[in-house]
Amino acid sequence: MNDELKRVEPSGDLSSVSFGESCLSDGLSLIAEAAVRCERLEHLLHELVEVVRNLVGEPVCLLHLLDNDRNGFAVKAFGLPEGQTVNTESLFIKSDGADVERLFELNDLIYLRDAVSGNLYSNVEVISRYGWKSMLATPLAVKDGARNTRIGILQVLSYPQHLEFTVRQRHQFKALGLHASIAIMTWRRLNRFLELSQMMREISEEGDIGKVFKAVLWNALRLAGASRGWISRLNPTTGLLDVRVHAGKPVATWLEKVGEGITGRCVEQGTPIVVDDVLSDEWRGLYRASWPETRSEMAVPIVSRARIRIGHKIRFAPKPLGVLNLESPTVGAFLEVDRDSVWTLARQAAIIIDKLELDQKLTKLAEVQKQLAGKRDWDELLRIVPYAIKILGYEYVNISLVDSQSKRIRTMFVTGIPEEGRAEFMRMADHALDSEDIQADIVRTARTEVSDGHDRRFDRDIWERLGHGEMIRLFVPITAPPGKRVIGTVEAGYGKGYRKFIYEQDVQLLRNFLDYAVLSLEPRTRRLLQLISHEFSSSVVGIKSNVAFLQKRFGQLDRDRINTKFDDLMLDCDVLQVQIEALHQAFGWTSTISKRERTVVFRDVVIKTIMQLRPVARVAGLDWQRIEYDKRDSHRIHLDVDRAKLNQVVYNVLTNSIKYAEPEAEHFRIAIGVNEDDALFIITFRDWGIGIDEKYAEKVFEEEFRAPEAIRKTVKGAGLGLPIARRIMRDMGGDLVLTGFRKPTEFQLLLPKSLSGGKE
Amino acid sequence: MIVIVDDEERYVRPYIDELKETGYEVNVQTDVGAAEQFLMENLADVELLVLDVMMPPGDTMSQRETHHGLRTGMYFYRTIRTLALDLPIIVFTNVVDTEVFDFFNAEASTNCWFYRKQDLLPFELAEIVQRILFGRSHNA
Repeated sequence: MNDELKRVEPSGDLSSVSFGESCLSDGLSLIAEAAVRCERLEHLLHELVEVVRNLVGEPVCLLHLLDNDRNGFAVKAFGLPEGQTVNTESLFIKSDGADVERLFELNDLIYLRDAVSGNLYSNVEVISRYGWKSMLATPLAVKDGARNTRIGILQVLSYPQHLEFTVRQRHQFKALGLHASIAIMTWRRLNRFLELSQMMREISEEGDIGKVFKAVLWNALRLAGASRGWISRLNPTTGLLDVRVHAGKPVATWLEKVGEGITGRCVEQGTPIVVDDVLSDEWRGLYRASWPETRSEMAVPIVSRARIRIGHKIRFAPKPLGVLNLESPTVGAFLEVDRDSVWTLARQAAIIIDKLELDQKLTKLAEVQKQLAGKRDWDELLRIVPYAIKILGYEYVNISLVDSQSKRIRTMFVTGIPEEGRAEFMRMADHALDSEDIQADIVRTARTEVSDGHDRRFDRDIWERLGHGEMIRLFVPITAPPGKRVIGTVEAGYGKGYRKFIYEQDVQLLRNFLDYAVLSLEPRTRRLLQLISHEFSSSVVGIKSNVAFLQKRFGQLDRDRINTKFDDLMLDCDVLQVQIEALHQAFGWTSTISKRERTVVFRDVVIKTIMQLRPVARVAGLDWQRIEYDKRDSHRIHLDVDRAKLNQVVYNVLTNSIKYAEPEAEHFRIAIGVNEDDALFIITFRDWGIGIDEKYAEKVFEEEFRAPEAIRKTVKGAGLGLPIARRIMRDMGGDLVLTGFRKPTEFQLLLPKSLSGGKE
Repeated sequence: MIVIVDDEERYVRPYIDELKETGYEVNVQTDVGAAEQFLMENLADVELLVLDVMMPPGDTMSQRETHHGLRTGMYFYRTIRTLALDLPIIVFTNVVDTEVFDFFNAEASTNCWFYRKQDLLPFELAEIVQRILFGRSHNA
């Protein structure tokens, strides 16, 4: 610091020194009052200097405070004779001088009749240059816990004459110094609380973990009066402490592990470690230098208190997140008050970091949840659920489902075990529901449990083979609907090494996710079941009622009416078959059995379906003979196909054309044609019905979608026909595409010629 | 005249035929909007209504109110009851929704009968219609 300083006029006779008891007590009162009144430290220090100068009656008063970063004492307040200025930097006092040791170790003041004879200052010429003659210096220190804590040095110097200070005056000066020390410490404690509140408010407003780290480090350095430090984040899997933010340009940063070094020990024990001298015998081997000049260090754990699950009960436990590390070239730089306030800051930071990490997990889980929409069954869900579980930090995941027919529970998906052992594991992880195995027990009790040791319910073979003794594991029942019947379990876990617990927050996140996954299946399942069961019921009622009518009235009916009833019966049977296939497709049960047989496609499938749908057209008031095709196409397209499935495709396409025909019967027309190219047979279905808006060209093939025109047409539809038809065609290697939108609406059935087996 | 409101005429054709063979005049409405209009214009001639539940809501009712067509008949019933308090109505449906069943069960004492299609053959429906209409004419 190189500044022009304020001139302070001394009071009293410069040639004599006398401060009586009443003056001293007044001065001490002023000092105590200033400690509470002053809002800023520099105001307090200047008031102290004023009081000292007025009491002692000498013009020169210097108040040095300990500078942790420079291992010495810098002038922070002063009073000078009129007309005099000084470069405060030249008055810096190093900590390692003999006089400094005497001041603090012996707690003794220094009186020098001739100030230049001492070695408080490394450069005593500065004293003579200013013309200062005699010096009285006292330490500013308090007991902080078990040790004497250095705060600074208070001096008065005579000018322009030498002075004799009596013993009494020296004692009184020492008392001034002691009270000044107390005043400074009192101010620091009072204002520390206000500072901390402000700092915690600032930190809590940060929305990013990196910014929280920076804010914590910066504020911790301010609190401790230091400029060097770093924060590292704990990786709970490896136990490594990875430096995320630093200040003061360290020459090296170290990847320490929990339990190693000063910071690693700090994380392990969960409380701060304050080292007065890293070069002492106790700490020498442990300290790893980030700055070569470091003498004192303070490591503070960043740890929150979190709810954990043990068994099925909830407890509280520490959750270590990282460590804050401050260093100083000054021995004993960090006081108890520094430790306490930085620790308070670190605990607040831990709460905020925990919350921000929870927000991150929720955001990632929400992204995974979006993928659940449209999933049809557990097979599809099983491909997504593990991603969610991994977001929560689990390394091992085992998803088991109940087979209610065989009354067993078996693994459907596992990750986190070696690939070569997976098949064997899945064979072993298959237990009867009435067994003692933990999976069966969870199904019975529907309890969520955490286990980190051996449990008599564990399969001993699996436990030993997979090293489950080294893991902590969570077991969550999957219930459908949520809270009701248990349909499976999720087992998730990780190595116990550096993560001793499973936190309740992660348990609840997993449970909520599983409930959501199950719920995402439920409404679709329920609605589809309602629609499809209605179709089934209608067909069965149709068959029964037609049979009953024929039984009662057979003799009264003419041949045409009887044939009409038989057509209706055949159609209802065909509809039942179609609905069974729709049920399979809707729930993703694709049949592995495909009965391929040589088929003359146009005759055996297309024309046959037209005949099947005659009753449907008739009931709709439409003339089925307005379904046109070229008779020469009857014998075209010889392929090896699954006739029933292809029939389903043509049935769905033609049914739509009938359902969505224009109300006026004379407008009803369907035209079916055949084309081919090198690779494909193309059967084209054109109708002149209500049409499809071009923007829904692909959506009509999505399950449960119905275009607005279709909904307005007031016919029932589940929106499954076209998606099922396309899926069947694609499974065959072909496709179903919409190539015309309105008058005509045109669908093309694409059949690969490769299905002919080389023959036509 | 017996009016049947059902969007799938093909499935109730045997019932229609049986009622006709039994001697009743039967009018079939496959659209709820048209059915409402027809009933308003011809209420005096309608002796009994046979009503399906699961039907497209058409233009006069909203998808949301009718649960996307799963309960159109319930909504239609409420509408018709405001026009004709004492019109006999047979609810004839495949729907197994308990809420639908509870609703019509509560209406059971007010000229309303609930039957599932799978429980009645055509001649059984015709007998029930005969019983209801005979009872009414006897009381009248």
